Amino acid sequence: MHAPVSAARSSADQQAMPNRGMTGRVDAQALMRIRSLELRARIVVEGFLSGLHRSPYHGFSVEFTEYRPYTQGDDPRYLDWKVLARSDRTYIKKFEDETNLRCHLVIDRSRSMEFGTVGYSKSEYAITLAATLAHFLAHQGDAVGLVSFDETVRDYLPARSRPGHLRQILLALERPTGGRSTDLVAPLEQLARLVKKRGLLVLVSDFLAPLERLEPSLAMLSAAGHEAAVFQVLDPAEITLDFPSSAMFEDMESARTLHADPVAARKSYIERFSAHASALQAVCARLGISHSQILTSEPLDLALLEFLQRRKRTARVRRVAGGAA
Amino acid sequence: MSFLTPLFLLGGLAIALPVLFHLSRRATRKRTAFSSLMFLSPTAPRLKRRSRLEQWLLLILRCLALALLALGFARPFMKDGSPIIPISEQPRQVVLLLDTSASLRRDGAWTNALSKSDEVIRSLRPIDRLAVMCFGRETRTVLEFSEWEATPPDARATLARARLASLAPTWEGTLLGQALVAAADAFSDGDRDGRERGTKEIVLVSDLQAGSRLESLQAHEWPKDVRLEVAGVTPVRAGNAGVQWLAGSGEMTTRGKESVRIRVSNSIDAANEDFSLAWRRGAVPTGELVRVQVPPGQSRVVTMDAPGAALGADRIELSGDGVPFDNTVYVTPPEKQRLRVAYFGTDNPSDSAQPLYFLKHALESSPRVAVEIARLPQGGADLTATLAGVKVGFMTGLPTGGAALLRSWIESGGTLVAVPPFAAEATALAREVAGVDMNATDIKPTAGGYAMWGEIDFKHPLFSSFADPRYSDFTKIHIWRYRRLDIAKFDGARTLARFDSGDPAVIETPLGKGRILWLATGWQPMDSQLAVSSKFVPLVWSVLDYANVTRAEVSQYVVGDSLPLPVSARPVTVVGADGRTHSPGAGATHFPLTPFPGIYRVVADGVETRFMVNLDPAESKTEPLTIDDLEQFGVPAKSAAIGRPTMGEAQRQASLLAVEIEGRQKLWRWFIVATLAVLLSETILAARTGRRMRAQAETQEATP
Repeated sequence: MHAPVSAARSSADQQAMPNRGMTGRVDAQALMRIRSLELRARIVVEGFLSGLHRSPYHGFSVEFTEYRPYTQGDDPRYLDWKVLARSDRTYIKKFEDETNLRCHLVIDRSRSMEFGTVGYSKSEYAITLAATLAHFLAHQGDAVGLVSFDETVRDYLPARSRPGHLRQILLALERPTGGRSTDLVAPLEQLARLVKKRGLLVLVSDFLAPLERLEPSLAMLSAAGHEAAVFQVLDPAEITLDFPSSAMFEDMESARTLHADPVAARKSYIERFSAHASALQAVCARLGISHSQILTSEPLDLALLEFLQRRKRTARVRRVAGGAA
Repeated sequence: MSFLTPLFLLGGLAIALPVLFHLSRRATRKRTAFSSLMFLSPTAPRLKRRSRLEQWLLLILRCLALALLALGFARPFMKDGSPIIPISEQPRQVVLLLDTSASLRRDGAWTNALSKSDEVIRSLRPIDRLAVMCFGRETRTVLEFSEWEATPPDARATLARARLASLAPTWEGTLLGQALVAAADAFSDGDRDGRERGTKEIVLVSDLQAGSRLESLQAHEWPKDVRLEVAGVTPVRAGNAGVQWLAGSGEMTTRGKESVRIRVSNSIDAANEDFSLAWRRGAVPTGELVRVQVPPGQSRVVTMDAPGAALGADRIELSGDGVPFDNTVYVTPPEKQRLRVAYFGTDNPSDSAQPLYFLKHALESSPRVAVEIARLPQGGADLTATLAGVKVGFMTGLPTGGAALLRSWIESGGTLVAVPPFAAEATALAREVAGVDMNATDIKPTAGGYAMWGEIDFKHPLFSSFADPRYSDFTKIHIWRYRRLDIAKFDGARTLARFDSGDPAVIETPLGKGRILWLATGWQPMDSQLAVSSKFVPLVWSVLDYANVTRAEVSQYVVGDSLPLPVSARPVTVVGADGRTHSPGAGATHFPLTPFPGIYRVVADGVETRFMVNLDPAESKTEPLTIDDLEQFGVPAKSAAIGRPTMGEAQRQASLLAVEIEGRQKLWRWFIVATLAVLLSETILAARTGRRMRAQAETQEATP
């Protein structure tokens, strides 16, 4: 499934096409300079797909391709006989119901996500990540939906796989929001009501909220039978408190101000911040939610790769668990 | 250098503030947006390490500005270098100006005034001079400088006190401005001999009531070396209501009675607002109470019925006011004047072609005046008896055989208006009455068929009421025929009006004490249109006014006014309000002794005329003036500080000297100027530094 990218691609974007390094990864700085979100997503996904052949992780395409070569033990019912007749090769053809994943991308659009010190904000990074995932999943024919929220759900596009839906998702992602504070409780409750059918939920947020409020919401999703993956998007300065001089710091969500000298406050900040991060990680592990912390300075395809690896692992775990049952 | 108010130097401690501000770190102004403050703990802004000060020049300028300001407020002065004799060591010349107007009759006011005066006398030293003056409507000198100096020093205070004791509040109004001018002039005797006699002070002991008249100060330039100190007198009770008789009384009310209009005014500091008015005869009420409500600071006009003459009520009294001195107003009930006017002529009063017909209508009686026209000659009437008490006569025909009598009547003060109908009568009249040979001629104007009055002497009392340009147009009156009179034949004759042809139209010829007014044309339709013009009635009445037979409009006099006396051959007696009888000398036209309010009766030729003399209505305005009101007239006044010996005398002298020197040097002004200059340079410097620092910051941001 190809979106009409070439028509939309502007000459400015063509000039800004990022060079791929030897590893085939796209520099995040260069990527973010591209104005078109769709183009950004395509670049990541295409690079990723082409890199797949060279990658050592070969086996996971089972989940994401429509065809796979027949191996011993597969049910011969699923052999694509037409392909066998044409090319004398055996491929397994998966049924749509079975192969298609229902995935909802849940994006935090609150004001704290507007923070950024690397030339772009966490929000832009998160949107690109979501667009990349959407593009990738749609490319495989999976049904993708979008939920964006701040203190309440702002946009909801149900998961669909039909042509043009990807474009709607991208448009919804590009729409600016006037969100204020992060509140996961209310949006996730709304989400649980909206998404009845079980599927994959990908949460992209900075999770800069008290953990005691986050935990019940995540637990509720997990209990509803959804498979959840969490991307904690952070700016490097948020981890290290790397500011040159003392200043009045203003909270982007509450507009509260306090005077702080980063040199003096750094130690306690890092302690408290990493305590929060590890607590979040522990909560996710306990609830069976895959958690990955991404810095906005890191390349996007790395995030994608990590996501797929984790999914493969959890899928395996589930299969094993399902077989044992 | 010394300071008048050294406590202000403590303000110099404020220098610590700029030093602290310069020590504190400026970075707190920078703001950084951050995603969440939940992990961040606040740190206080720190002082710069090791008290390292920046911007030395700015700091010095700021400290300097504060220091100069503190110095300026401390009122510095240089002690040495100016050999000034303090005022208190110089001899003083003091005029004690004591208010004796009627408003001092209020409870406690006079006692207070006397004790304040006594304080002034006590404060004087042997080297000082004192004069005492008192004032109400007039300013009187009670004690002169020369008397004070002529008295031995130890007897001076006793003399001054004795003179003060002889004074009492009068019933007069308050001409304060005039009194101040007189008091300032009192110093001139010292100036005359050129000797330096010390400072000139007027100590005004007065209640400074709002009704004081200050207008005289406007035309007077206050001498610079005369200072005015005001020792305010306060009565026991504040607030006052007063009554005033208003002109226009005597109108008929709707009930058909004659009325009197009375204004009741209440001062702004009054406590009461319910009053009642009643007619009285002496202390006896003679009519019903009229209630009136006057809120403080306002006035009401009340119309009261005049009581019948039989009741003899002569005053209206206000009750309900705690300050009684101005609560009585004396009122003479309006009287109708009866006039007799003689008419010499034979015409029929009901014939509308004859002069008498018009004269009779012009002299119709009014509520004020009743005019009786005595026609002469009448069959068998005695001319002498008829002319008794008559001052004005109109003549169209000479009474037979009465010329000599008529002449003596005119010479004793009669006014004859001669309107001869033909030239022959004019010639006869001139010959027999005035004793002048004159040939009059009848004239019938040919040009246009009529003549007009052209040149009129509007300054003459006869025509003065027409002097206004709105009334001075006589050209509408056409004259068909007139007599040409030869004015040159009369001694002292005066032409009051001329025809457009140049012939005299109205001539006044004196004769003894009286006069003949010659009208060259009659007013009857055969002669002219005068009788039917709007000028005729006023003209006839101005003849009566000119002959001084009509009485002036009833008016009231205030205490101190002179009363007009009637002209009478026999002695006139005046009965004052206090019941005493006075006999003004022969030929006196005015009676000046009216020191009390009340009814004054003037009896002349057996006729009694009553005059009401009342308190000056301005005296009722008792709310006090402020010293600023005096200063508006250019009088530098201040409150008298008599009786303040709280400080030791030496200390007081020293502080007075300091105030004096500081007041002359006024160094504080230079300190304020210097402060402003320093602040200006500080502003410029700060602006430059700020601009430079911003530029540096921008370059730093551009090259991270």
